[in-house]
Amino acid sequence: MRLLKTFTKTLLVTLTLFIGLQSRSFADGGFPVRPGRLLLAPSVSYFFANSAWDTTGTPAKRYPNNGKYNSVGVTFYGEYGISRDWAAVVSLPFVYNSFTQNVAPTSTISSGVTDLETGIRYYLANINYIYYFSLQGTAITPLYHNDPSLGYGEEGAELKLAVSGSGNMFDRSVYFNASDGFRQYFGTNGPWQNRYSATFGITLDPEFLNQVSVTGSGIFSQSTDKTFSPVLEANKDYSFFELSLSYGHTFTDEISLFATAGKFLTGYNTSAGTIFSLAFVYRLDYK
Amino acid sequence: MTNFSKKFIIIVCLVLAVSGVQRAFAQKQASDSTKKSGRVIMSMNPENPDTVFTANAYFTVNLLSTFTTDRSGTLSYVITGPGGKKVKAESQHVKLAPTCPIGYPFSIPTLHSGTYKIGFTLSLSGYQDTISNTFIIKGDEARKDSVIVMTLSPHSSDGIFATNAAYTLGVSSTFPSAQKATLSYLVTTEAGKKVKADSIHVSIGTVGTANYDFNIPPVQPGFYKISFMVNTPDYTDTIRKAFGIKPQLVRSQHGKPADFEAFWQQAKTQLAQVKPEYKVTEIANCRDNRRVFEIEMKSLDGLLIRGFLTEPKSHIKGKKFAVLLGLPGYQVPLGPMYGTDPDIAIFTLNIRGSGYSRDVINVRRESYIVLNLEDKNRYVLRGAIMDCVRAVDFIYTRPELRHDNIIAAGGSLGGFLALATCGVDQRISFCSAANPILCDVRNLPHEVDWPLIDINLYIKTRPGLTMDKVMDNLDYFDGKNFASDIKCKTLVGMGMLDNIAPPDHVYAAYNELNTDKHIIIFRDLAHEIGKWYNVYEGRWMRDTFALF
Repeated sequence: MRLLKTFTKTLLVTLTLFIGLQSRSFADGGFPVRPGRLLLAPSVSYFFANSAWDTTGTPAKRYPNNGKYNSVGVTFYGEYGISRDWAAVVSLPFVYNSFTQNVAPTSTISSGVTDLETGIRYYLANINYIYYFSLQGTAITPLYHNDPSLGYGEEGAELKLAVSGSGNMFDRSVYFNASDGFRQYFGTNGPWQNRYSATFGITLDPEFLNQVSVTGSGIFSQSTDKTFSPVLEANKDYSFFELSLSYGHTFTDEISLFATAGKFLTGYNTSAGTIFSLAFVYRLDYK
Repeated sequence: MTNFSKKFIIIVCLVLAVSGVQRAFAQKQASDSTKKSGRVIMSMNPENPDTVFTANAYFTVNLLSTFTTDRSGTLSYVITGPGGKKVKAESQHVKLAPTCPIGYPFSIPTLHSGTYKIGFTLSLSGYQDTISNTFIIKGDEARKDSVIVMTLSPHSSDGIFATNAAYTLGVSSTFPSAQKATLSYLVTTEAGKKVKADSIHVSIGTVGTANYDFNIPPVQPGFYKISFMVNTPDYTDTIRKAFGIKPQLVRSQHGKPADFEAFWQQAKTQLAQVKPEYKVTEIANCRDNRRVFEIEMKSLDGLLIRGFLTEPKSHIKGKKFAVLLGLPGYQVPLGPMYGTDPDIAIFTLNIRGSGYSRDVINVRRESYIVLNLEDKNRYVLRGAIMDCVRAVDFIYTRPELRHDNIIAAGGSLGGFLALATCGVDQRISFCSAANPILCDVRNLPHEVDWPLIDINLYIKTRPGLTMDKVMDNLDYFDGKNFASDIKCKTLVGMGMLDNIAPPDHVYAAYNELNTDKHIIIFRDLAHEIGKWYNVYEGRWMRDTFALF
């Protein structure tokens, strides 16, 4: 009977110790969103580049005239679990871009809100409750007029498939997110884009308070308009691959902070930049 | 504070005293310097030296922190054998809250016979302390120095085969010379009836491992025991396993009574006539950021039953929790269950005559399963199942609990209770039954020792009572008969070597489920389930309840 006792107690204790790591990872994955959960993630980023890849790709070359491109972005990201299967997603970025060089015009500045992204995510399926798949449709709506430094000024649509999973590795809890989306802008020379991302994260402690992750992501954008601009948002035919490292700290069940540093490793017809970002994540449950 | 709460606290104090905490307190008071900086009072259970274990030693290390803040670190043990040679070592993470006693159980892996010393070391930041003890393992008689080691590898990860079972038997020897041996296998039904047997003659060398493939001839769908044996003139050894063939075809040849549902509807009607008289008393708690409540309520026949509800503390106004209804194993007292899950409340129930609900029914362990077995309307499990339904009634009275997110879970008798409760009460939305006993009861004779031993003894004490009459009554308490009435998602766990809830019985119940179901088979386990079951259960439950 000792076995029975031990077993029964173990059964119940271990059940309640199970915590899905997916609730602690940042947004934009394949995990479903809990119904009634509002996730708000304001973030601030700083992008810097003084070189670019031309249409032939590597190696990156310095901008002429000691040109430097800086961009500070503030983004409000939010998602809300409508039901078990559906979630709404919204993203509103604001940027402040500046390009400086030692010939006139020595400084070019632009700023403003860019493309509003509103989407809806559907929880497709899972495999053994370990791997989760979702499909997201997103509408892109420009919130500016005739300012190519903020974006194409064209409406667009994206369909993205994402998969996420969690488990244990190296005696640690780990998770991954991978997504691939196809986006089409509907204006003149509106590019179509393949936007992909893959993240692997690992927790550093049993309480899931600290985690680090590495992300590989990129955009492959194709258009008949081959024009190059150091302003990222203005290019239509380009590609890049970025590698970033992220550290996340969870303060409470509701509040987390993610700090990220990334670098563009390869690309063509775009700036070779470095990016730093900070994202606060607030989770609020309304059910 | 209720009388029960007082009793509970007194019991806890007595346990602490026995386990040496009291002595440690005295030591603490003698040390002024230590008193100022705080310390952790360590004791172990058993505390007496040279406690004898048959194979596996079990220790619980009790920790009481006098630090003023939460501390975390590691608690490790080292076992040394004769001559001080290190034999085993392990460590685990610990977290201590101020003045909150907590026990960490350690199950020591199997050791050879002998006397050992175990030392537990607690390491916190800037603090370390060690306690030690000696214990004795008295297992089987020490084997001769030379052995033949058999390793068996089934050609199936869960021991389930489509047509015929297949194994690879690895054999190695530490004898100084080659050994002529017979390798044989014997396949029997769960009831022990011989089905297949074969043997080969081999010479086992002194170097390396020789592998021999055994393809068992096809047998009928079902579950079988298989033994592999090695025999030499001086040595013999046996490995016992089990396998299944097309278990999805396993069906009981016994149907359920025509008035099965009516019988339980009548029980529920009778229960509804009993005023619950819920009494909820909050108990002071310092663990896992949870509120703890002692629950008292009246159930069928007016019996008082008790349980414990623990709820995560939440600052979210109107936060509702999914509920785990934890059901007890055989005669297992269930105290409050904790855990750091912020989404789930845990209601542990002590059914009548079990744990903390023994005010009226308080019988010896072996008598419980047969109490009033001669009358299905008075049989103890009828009331016990209604106790579980009353627990659901209670959950429905609590506005902070999600009434549509209730999981009933348990192992052994708890697994049976989970099936039974979900069969008679469709308010439960998830069923988790690990190693459920009392399934396909009419086939239990000759397959299990327990509870048949107790049933046979009971029959002898009741003039006129026969096994047929007992089985007629137990038809109303057969797990497979409840299974066909279950409407919610159901997870079942099974050990292939289980001799209390045999696999063919569990599968007979599983095959009666007409709902979204899943079974996890542990090929090498007996009356227990592995960690994967809990992981899968947690993941499936969270997905079902949308607790992403």
